[in-house]
Amino acid sequence: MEAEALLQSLTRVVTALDGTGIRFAVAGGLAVYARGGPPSDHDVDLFLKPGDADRAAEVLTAAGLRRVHPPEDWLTKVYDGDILVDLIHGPNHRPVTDELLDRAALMRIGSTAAPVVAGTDLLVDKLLVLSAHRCDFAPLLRIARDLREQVDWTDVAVQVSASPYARAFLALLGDLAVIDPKEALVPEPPQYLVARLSRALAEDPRTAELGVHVTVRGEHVHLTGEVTCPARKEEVDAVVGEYLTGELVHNDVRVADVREPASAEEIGR
Amino acid sequence: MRIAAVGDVHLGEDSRGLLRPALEHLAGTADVLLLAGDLTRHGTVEEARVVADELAGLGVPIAAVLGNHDHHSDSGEMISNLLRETGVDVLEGEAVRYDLPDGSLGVAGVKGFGGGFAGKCASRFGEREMKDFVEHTMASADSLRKALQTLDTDVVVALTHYAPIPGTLHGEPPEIHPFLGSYLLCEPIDEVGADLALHGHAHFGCEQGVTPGGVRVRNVAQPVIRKAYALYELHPAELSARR
Repeated sequence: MEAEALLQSLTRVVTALDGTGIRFAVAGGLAVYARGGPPSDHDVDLFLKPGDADRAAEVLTAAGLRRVHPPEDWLTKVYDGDILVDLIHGPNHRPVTDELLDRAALMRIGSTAAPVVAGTDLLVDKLLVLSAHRCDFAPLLRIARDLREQVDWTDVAVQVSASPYARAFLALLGDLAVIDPKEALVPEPPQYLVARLSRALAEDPRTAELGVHVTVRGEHVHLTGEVTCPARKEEVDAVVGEYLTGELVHNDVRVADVREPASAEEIGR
Repeated sequence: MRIAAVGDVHLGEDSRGLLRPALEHLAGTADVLLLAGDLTRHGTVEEARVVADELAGLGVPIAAVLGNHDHHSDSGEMISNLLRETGVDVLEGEAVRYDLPDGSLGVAGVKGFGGGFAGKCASRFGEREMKDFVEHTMASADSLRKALQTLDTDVVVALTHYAPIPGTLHGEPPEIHPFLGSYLLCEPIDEVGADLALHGHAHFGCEQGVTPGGVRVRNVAQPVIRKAYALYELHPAELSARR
C-alpha cells in the first residue's frame, strides 16, 4: 500500500470530521511520520474518546467510507476504498481521555493538518503493544531515534514499567546511547529513596554513619548532620551517588569542630 | 570539680591525631574525662588502638562506656581490654571512684540500649526478638542501678551511651526515639539521686535536659556540643549537703 494513498485517506477523514466537534488525534504510523519518523504504509489510526467512536463512524460513513464491525471492543473500523481507518478509543486497554487529546499538537501531515498525538504518548502506545508474539524492536529503534527529542523518556519508563518487553527496549535504547540510560529509570518514590540512602549510609563500611539525615525534595537530595573529618564528608557523597539517578545532591553535612571549649557550664544545686 | 565529657567521636583508622591537639592541655582544664560511647567508627580493634593512642598520658583519669558503633564488629570485649591497658576505666555495669582535689567523684556506667520512653515504649511481650530487645535494656538498667548503689562519693555521675530521657533528644525525629534510649535507664538515676547524667548517641538532639526526679542530663555527643569536649563545673560541698 502506498504512503501517498494513506495520506489521501487521512485528508478525507480529517475533512469529514472537521466541524463536527468530535475530538480526535492522529496516532500510529502517521503520527510517527508527522513527527519526523519513517513514512507509514499501514493504515490510518485515530484516537478518540469512547463516547465519540460511534458518531465518528457515522460521520465517516456519511462521507462515503464503509463501516465494518470488528469483534474487538476497543476500536471501530471504517474503510476508504482499500485503506483501513482504525477509530481507536481504548489503545492497550487504556481509554482515550481529554488529557491525552489536549497533549496532541496540530501538525502538518501530507496535504492536511490535524492534531497529532504527543511524542511521549506515541512511544508509550508503541511500547505497550510489545508482547511475546510482537517483539520486533527494529522498527521501534528507528522511531525512537527519529523522535527522541520529542519524548519524555522518564515519563515513558513510568508508564510502561509493568511491561518486561518495554523495559528491555528502554534498556536497549540506553545501551545504544539513543537516550541517556538515567532518563529511562523509573524514579523511586521519595520515601523509599530516603530509606535506601539512610540504610546505605549506615551499613556501607565506607560511611558507617547513622548521624546523617536524608531529605528528598523532588529532584533534590539534602544531606545534613555532622561527621568527624572532611574525608568522611566526601565518602558520604560517594556512597549516596551510587544510589541516585540524576538527583542533585546538597551535602550540608558539617565537619566536627574539635577545638577546646571556651567555658564550663556550672552545675549548681 | 571540673568534668570534661564527650561522646560519639567515631574515630577511624584515618583519625589519628584528630582529637589530640584539643586534649593536650586537658590536665590544666579538667579533673577527669568521661567518654559517652561510640569512640570508634566500625568497632574494630585497630580503631580502638587509635582511640587509646589519642587518650594515652593525658594526666587525668578517664572513664568510658562503649556505644553501638563500638560493638559493630563484635569486638566489644577486646576494645574494652585494649582501652583498660591504656588506663581508661571502661564501665559496663561497674562504678569507679576518683578522689579529686575538690572531693570524691563516683562514676557508674553502662552502654544502655533503646526501647523508648514512658507511654511510648516497647514492652517485653510477643516475639522472642522483641523480648530480647527489651530484656537487653532491662539488664542494662539493672546493672546501672547496682553500680550506682555501690557509690558513696561526694559527686555521683551516671554515664551511658543511650539516652535516659527524651528531653535531650529534641531535634531527633520522635519516631526513632525508641532506638535512642529508654526510660528504664532513668529510673536508677532518679532512685539514687545522681548529680549528673551524661549520654551520647543522639547526634541531632540537644545538650540539656532533666530527669523526672530533677537530675541534670547532658547529651555530650560531639555533633551536639560542637567542640572537643564539654566542661561541667560541680561543687562537691554543695551537692553532698543536698543528699
